[in-house]
Amino acid sequence: MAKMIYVVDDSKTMLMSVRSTLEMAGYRVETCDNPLNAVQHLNGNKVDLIITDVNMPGMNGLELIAKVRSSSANRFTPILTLTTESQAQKRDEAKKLGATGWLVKPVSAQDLTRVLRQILPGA
Amino acid sequence: MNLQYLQKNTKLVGAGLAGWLVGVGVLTFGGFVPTPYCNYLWAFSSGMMGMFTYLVIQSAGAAEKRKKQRAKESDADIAGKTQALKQLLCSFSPLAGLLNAHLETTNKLADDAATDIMERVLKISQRSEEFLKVFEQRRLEAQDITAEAENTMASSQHLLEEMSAYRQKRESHQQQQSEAITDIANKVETFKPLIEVIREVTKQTNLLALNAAIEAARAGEAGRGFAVVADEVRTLSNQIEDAAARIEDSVFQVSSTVDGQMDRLEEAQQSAVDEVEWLQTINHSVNTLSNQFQKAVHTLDDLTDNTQEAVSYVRNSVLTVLSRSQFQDIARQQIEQVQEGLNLCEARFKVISEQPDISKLTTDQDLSDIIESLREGYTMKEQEDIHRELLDGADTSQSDEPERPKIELF
Repeated sequence: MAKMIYVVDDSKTMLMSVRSTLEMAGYRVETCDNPLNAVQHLNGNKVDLIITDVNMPGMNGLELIAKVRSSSANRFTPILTLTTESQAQKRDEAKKLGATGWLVKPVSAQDLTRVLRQILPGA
Repeated sequence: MNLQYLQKNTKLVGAGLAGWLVGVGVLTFGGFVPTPYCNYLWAFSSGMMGMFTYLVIQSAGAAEKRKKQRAKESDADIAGKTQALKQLLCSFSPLAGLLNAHLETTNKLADDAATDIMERVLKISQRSEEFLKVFEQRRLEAQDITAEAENTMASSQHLLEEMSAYRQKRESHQQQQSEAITDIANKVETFKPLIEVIREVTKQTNLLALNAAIEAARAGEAGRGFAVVADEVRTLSNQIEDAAARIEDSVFQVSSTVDGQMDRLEEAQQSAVDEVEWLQTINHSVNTLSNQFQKAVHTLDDLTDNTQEAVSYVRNSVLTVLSRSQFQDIARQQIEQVQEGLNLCEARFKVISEQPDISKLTTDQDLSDIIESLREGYTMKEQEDIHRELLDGADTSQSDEPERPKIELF
């Protein structure tokens, strides 16, 4: 069965862009535009990889990473940030919190799928 | 020179009078003017001084009055300007609201447009993928048909080869038959001279029997027995002649049969030649059909390859459109940053406009803190670069700072 990717972003354009790109690459994709709901979902549902924005209303991506890492379901699930944020400080913070990678928008479909294949070999 | 001019220029007049008095002093006390004229001169000078004093007092009063008037006007002017400034600051609020609304609408329109574009290109991609699937399915079906047709054609060719081999075998048999019949015909032909010999013999025998019968008759009773023998010989000779005639007839019949058989064999051989031509024609047709079929299959393969290429191009283009659509999120965040700046300015202007005395404005109420606050909120390098170029005068295109990678895996 295809790997399940969970995408969190407050922009519906981004969600559609990433979902379509990944589905065309053969992944199963679930999306969420609310980080609070996303945390709740990820507490009880194991996924194969999480992609999250950083700057979101309600809860930023760094807090989301911290909460997901403290949950049991996705403690070791790879998490990628996909953000416009270019501050090294936030990138370092994400790394410290347990993010797997840092991707700056806009990211091409080829680059995104290449990174996913690297992290999820055999997918 | 009128009185009003003198009032306005009291200092000049005072200086003139002082000069006048010094001159009078020098003239009178220096003995340059006779004593009786001195008194007139001093009396005239005193009168002038009195008038000047009066003018000074009048002028001072008028100046004070004017000063008070000016102060009054100035207060009224400041109050008016303050009010105007407050109104100006207050009018920024609806303007900021309007600009915010426009920016929000722009964001929404761009968002909807980007979503719509993506949906449409995804549908195009989906349709082209479906088309390719159908095409692939048809190609597989065509491949099955081709395989079946090739098998059929191979069987046909095999059958044709077998038929050809059978025909060759049959031709060989016919040849053997022909040779055998020709041999029989030749052998039958050899009977014909023998029949002639038999006929000649029977003719001679008949003649001899006749002569014997004549001689037996001449001999009378003595030749009676001989006459019987001669008669028997003649009867035997006739029988032999009949047998020769029957043999000749049989030989003729055999010969006719052989000739008929030879004719049929020739016809059969001619038919075999025709069969060869037909087989060759059929074989050629089957080969042509096979080639044409293979050509059609190759054309279909080429078409499928071209279609696959086109669908792949559409797919890559769709993926590029999807990636490029991320601009909307980037633009949205930049617009939101501008909205944030407008909101901060609006709040600041509101605070200033609510101050009762505008003269109590302090230097910390300029917009530099708002600019700094905006800078802290930047998320993109592009925003930081614009800020540095516009406000710090930096040339970011010449920056030595290495650009951060877009993708980092920890």
